[in-house]
Amino acid sequence: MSIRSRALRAIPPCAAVLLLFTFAALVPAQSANDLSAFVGRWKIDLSRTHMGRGNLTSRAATFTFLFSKVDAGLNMDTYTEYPQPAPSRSNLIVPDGKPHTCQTSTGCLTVGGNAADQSFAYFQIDSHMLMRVFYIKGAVSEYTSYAVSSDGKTFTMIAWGAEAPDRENIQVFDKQP
Amino acid sequence: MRGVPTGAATEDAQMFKQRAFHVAAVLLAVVLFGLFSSIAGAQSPADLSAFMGTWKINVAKTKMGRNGPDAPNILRSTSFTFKFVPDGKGVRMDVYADYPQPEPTRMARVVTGGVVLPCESKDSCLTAGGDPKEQTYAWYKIDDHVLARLFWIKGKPYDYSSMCVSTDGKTLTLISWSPETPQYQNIQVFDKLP
Repeated sequence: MSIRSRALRAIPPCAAVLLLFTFAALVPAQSANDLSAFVGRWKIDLSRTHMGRGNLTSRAATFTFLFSKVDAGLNMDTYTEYPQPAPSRSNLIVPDGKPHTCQTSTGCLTVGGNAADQSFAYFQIDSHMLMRVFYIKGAVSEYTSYAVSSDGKTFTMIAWGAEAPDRENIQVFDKQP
Repeated sequence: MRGVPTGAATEDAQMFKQRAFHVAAVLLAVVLFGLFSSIAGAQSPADLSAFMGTWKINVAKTKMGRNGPDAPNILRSTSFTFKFVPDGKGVRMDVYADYPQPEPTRMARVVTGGVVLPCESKDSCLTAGGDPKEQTYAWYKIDDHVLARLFWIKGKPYDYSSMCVSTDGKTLTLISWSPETPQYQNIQVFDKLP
């Protein structure tokens, strides 16, 4: 066997082991950007919704989220009442953990505010859970978890203020056909 | 029968050896980069400083509803306590079903960045029990005050949770739910002990 052949035979196993080791260290627990469980229209279920945070007392019975897939992640349209000709506001969900500025002129929160002061970052935990940190003038104002049930029928959003995580708004949504 | 290498063949072999060495060096560099990136992604205790210390459950503010309104839910002792302590270069979360006790009931290493960790507790890493060998979990740091945890049994998601320390550092809130029913949660509130 020539030196070339021996070397050729020796390199691939070493390379495979080294690459496997490298990627095992780098690959997170689940594949990123599989957000298809969120895609679709979700209508609030007021009977299971509990607004305990104190900043927002009620939602319309037709309050709706519409998630659609985009290259960067998801587009999230919020309808304070559904149907409406256009969403009340829209957020782009890019689950990269980096702050993104609010693109809705009227503000990205139900309570309004100055859009120019608002930014948010999304984190993907797995295909059924996201977390959002919302900033006003760069300071954390709110944390939110987004969770879709394993059967894909229920979406639960839990939000709390940075000062009082023991008081939450728990909003439950049913998937619409 | 092997032939005697010619001068050209020897030169070719040496060149190939050099190339093989070069490839191996590049691969080694990639591995080391990956390894150090991974280690750098893990949190140092200082990054989790808001969590460090002893947290006793506040039963009045705690609502255990993870199993839904029609099923029995876990009851906590009034002295149920978490302790976040330094552990080597990382952080460990000791759980005391009753506090004080000579030893924690169970423990979990806190290494963020989505690293899947085995359950190292002797009995179980869950209040509900189960075989620790089937249990794994991963932590995700959202920021200095918020962690998320995903817990698996036999590789299948069993529990999601968020853990948040208030900005004043006095309250820790743990919200957890089953993958099947995120609309039902255990919301456990803890007060920081001096």
